Amino acid sequence: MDKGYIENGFIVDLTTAKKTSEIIYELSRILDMPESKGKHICLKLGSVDLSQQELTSIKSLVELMESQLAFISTSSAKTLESAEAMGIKISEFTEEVEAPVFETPEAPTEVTEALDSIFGAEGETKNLSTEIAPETASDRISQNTTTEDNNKDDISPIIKQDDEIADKVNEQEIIEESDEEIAEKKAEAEKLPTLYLRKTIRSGQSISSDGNIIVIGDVNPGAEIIAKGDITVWGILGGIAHAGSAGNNYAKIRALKLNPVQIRIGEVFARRPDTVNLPYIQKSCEYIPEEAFTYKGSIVIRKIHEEN
Amino acid sequence: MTGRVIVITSGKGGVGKTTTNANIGTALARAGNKVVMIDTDLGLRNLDLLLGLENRIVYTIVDVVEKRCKLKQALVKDKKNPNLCLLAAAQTRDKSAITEEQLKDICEKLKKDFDFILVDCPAGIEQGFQNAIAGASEAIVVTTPEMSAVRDADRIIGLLEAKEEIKSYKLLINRVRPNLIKTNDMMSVDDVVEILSTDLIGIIPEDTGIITSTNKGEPIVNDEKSLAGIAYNNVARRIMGEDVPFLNLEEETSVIAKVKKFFSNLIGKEK
Repeated sequence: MDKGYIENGFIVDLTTAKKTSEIIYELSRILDMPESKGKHICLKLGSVDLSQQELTSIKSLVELMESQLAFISTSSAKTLESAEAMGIKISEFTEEVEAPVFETPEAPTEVTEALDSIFGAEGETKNLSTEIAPETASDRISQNTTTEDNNKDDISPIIKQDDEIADKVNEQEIIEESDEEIAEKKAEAEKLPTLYLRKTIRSGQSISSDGNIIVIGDVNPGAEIIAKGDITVWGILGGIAHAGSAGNNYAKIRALKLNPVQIRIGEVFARRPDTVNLPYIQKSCEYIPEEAFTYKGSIVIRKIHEEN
Repeated sequence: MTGRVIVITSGKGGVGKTTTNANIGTALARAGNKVVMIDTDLGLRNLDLLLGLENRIVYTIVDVVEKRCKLKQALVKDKKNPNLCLLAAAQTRDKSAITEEQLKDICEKLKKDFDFILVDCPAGIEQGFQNAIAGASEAIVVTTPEMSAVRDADRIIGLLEAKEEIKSYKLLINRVRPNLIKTNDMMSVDDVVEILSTDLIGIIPEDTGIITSTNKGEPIVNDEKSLAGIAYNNVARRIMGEDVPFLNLEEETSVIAKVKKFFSNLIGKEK
């Protein structure tokens, strides 16, 4: 244990944090992820001097988030002293430690990496939310509870982006496939036949097609839509949508409002973040249509504005 | 006479299918229609309890399909209303004791003698549900303003849509609590209607009177002062084709609110 290896837990590297508030902020962010519930946490603290009182509050924060504080490492003598007084295990982290390490959590990108290390094992989505448009990030959260922190959206697997950012992202796209193959895959949806449905798709119903699917109506939670090509929903998409089911990562999913439980494009998968876990959302005439596509193995959602 | 066969279903249990059935049936009968209620919840029958007819049951629907008695012998007349009959479910058997065809046949026979045949559906979407909807041409989907009930209602509506024989289905929202809706702690009626995109046939407020009426075996529609009773009566009138406005449940009913309203009206008039 003292070597820094830990079962059913992970290391939180907070060596770059300069203030107690920073530590608490970053820690609460990481602990808020559902994956960290019930895990043992090893805190890697830097040179920050922590009093016994501060350390107690950190410990109670960890316990509040249903995790456990296993041990800490620190370079500060004062922190060491208070930890010893509280009976918290002290550890020296060695370089050979093969546990998922949370890198400096200051910028959201690093939090993303941390998320990767958790998701990585299951091969789930990666997150590229370096620049989330604040208004879109808060958009969904505001429907949940008013006390939600905007930053929580940063670590969500489904990302909302403004179209500008999305455009930038498109330009940077680097993929091993040849240009011709990409063009072919991108145009595939246009060649496929289209299934046109003018009804509400309800819970328990499953629609699958070898072509594109257009739904004029809502897709309620519990329903499932699987298409080889694109999926377009003229309404609220609340169920599970799988576009490009034959493995085309260039398929797209569009809806007046995207609120899917899970979304799959080709082989890429994303689920609704727990922070915006609203099974049903209110209908409104103010929705801006949204589009989901893949970028570097992640699913990105952007709003489709008039200019596009 | 060709009666209308209406199935009352919900998917989720405990949302008030049987209560709805008993009350709508009683209200329709009170309005002068000949009504028969069929309980298809074999093994878990309740409808007889709500009507207070448990002690009068001699033959059940299973006896009818197994030809131990005639259909007319199995119909239990209501205590008060001679227009109202019940075809009870067997308590000692399970859902496999009858088939879709048999129920369809019973409905066809009853159509000749009754204006309304109300089928009480068991919870779930298994054989019991399939049996219950077999003979029906109309459906009332009962739900409550809760996520789970709405989800199940959505599923049921999907199954009803797939069934060609069901010509129309309507939504009944039960156990609505206006004060919870006001504080945003409960889904509003509009929310539920929008999610399910289905026509509404009734909004029934939560009423503690339902509990006492169930225990007494006396449907709440017989109590003219009860809000739920009035709401159920309105549903029955809508089924008969009348255009009845929905009850305004939002209205403040406390004494203080009434006094306030009275005074605000006075001031309004003075101006």
